[in-house]
Amino acid sequence: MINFDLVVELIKSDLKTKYKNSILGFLWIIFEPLFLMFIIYIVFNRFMRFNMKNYPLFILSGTTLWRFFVNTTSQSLHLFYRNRELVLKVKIDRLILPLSLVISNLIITFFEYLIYIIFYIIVTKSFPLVFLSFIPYIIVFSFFLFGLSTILSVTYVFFRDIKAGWDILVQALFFLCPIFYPFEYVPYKFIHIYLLNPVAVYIIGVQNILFYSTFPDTTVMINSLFFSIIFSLFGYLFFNIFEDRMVKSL
Amino acid sequence: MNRNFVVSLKDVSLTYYPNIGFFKKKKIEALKNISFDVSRNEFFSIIGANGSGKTTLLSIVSKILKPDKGTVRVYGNVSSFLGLGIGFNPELTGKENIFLYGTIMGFSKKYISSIIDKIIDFSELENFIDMKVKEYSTGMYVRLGFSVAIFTKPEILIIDEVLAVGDIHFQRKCLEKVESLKNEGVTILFVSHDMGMITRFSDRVALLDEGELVKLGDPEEVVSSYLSRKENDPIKNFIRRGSREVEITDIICENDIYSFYERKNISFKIKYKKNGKVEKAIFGFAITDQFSNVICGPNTYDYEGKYIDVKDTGELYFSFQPLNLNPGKYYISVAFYDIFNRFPYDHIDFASSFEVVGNRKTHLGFVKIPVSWKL
Repeated sequence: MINFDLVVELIKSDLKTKYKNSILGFLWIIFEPLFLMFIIYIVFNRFMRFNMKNYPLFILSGTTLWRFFVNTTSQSLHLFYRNRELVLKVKIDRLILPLSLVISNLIITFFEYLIYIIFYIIVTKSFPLVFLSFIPYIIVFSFFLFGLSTILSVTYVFFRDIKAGWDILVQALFFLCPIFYPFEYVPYKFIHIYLLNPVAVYIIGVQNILFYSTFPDTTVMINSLFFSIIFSLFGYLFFNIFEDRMVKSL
Repeated sequence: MNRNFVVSLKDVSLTYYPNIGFFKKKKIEALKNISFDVSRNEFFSIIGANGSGKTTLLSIVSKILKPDKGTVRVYGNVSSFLGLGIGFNPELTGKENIFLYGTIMGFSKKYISSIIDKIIDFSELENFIDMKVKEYSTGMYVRLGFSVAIFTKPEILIIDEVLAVGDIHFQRKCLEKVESLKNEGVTILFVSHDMGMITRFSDRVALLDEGELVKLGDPEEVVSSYLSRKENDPIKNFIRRGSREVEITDIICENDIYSFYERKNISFKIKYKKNGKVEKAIFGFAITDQFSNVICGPNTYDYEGKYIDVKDTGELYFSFQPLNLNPGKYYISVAFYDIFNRFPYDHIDFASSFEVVGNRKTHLGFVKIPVSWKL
């Protein structure tokens, strides 16, 4: 049975330390994604003359989810190392650590998307009701992230090399996701391979809901659910198999 | 079910594999076939040198680690203090950390809210409770941790070393609390290096040596056999660095217990050999308490303005009276350094140890300094 009071306390402690000591505090949540959006916009729209309607909004809808993914997974690598005292000296359900990591990042992401929605309303002067489906959709994505983070955090304890490998993979994935170009640009014959990248699938899903204001189509929806179930189940099993060995190696 | 024991271990073994890699496989057998039972309401202590497996054993009883072999049965809910203030976030205030640490110890938020005043009261940190914990001293940190932890309602309490930190006044308060828990029927598993505390409180003592249970029984008997064992122990658990141009080959402690009654010096004999072309060197030693605080570090140059003429093989002696030290266990580091006292030829931390005993009050801090008062 998961101790939810502990999850809440860990998330509170994490968020407080992230924003308490900086002068801008919570404003960073707005500033960070806007800055990334600004750079991509300048490079692709102004330098490379890439034209698309509401291009800044498009970028923002993708980068926000991307940052959720990158921040969570990169923090997950050191997760058990950083908290080795908690792992080695008290009896807690250790899955609480990746769980609260994901939820704490989810909360930040949620605020970032609120900012996005405000911009959307200002630019298009409309609020499509389909936006409401974003909430269940981001939760589905969080399950995927929870599974992946658990796998990464356990593996890192055994193989430190995974960090270098992961950094390279993340860089490649950035270009393999429709963040600064729309999914329609992917040639038809590559689409099936392209959709094997879970992060791309979720970004397409979020863009469908929050940028094109439509429901994701069946393929995207099925893939989203599939990755979410497979990764969270596998992460859970992986953790249960390797937990004892991991604790002894810490 | 008829049973009079609450903890029961049978043939428990655990092996660590540090250096995880494809080719190198080192293994450390932390525990080898340990079996014992602890009765209800017993004060059961475990002693042994560093690395003998005490903490691993407590972790297994706490269900933090699973043994590779053997069975562990624990009847009743367990509270483990394997460290105090585990999971404290230094960026948060004392009060916020009470909630964080409390939930880590398994309290509900509601329960913490209901006892928070008692916790703050016990910790005697009223004036600092809204301050960030990173500004706390080690003593305050531990005090806050203990004050939260002690509000668990365990049937079995597991304590590893933690009571020895903090000032004397608070230490005594903690011990009183532990004693009162025992009077309420709590079973206690206890690890400490403080032999005085062990003999005073324990009903039974277990002695571990390199993962083996070598003796179990009457406190006085086990403690004295542990202390006598240590004397003919070769150098163990030390941390060593340096170029080895001068190499320490042996360190012999001629009497490793200092008693305030006898006031006999503690003396050490060092044997060394020369491997390089060194002619002169500085020799020094340091006294460290069991929490790695360096008490002092005399060397031949600082104290006497002298270098040592390094021979091919040689011996040297030093002795001192630890007059101002609190009773307790201390470690000796020994080292040869170059004449600028910068590069170690051979530096061994925790090379040897001695114990200060005597029916004398402990004082606050590490040492007692000569003071003149005008009252």
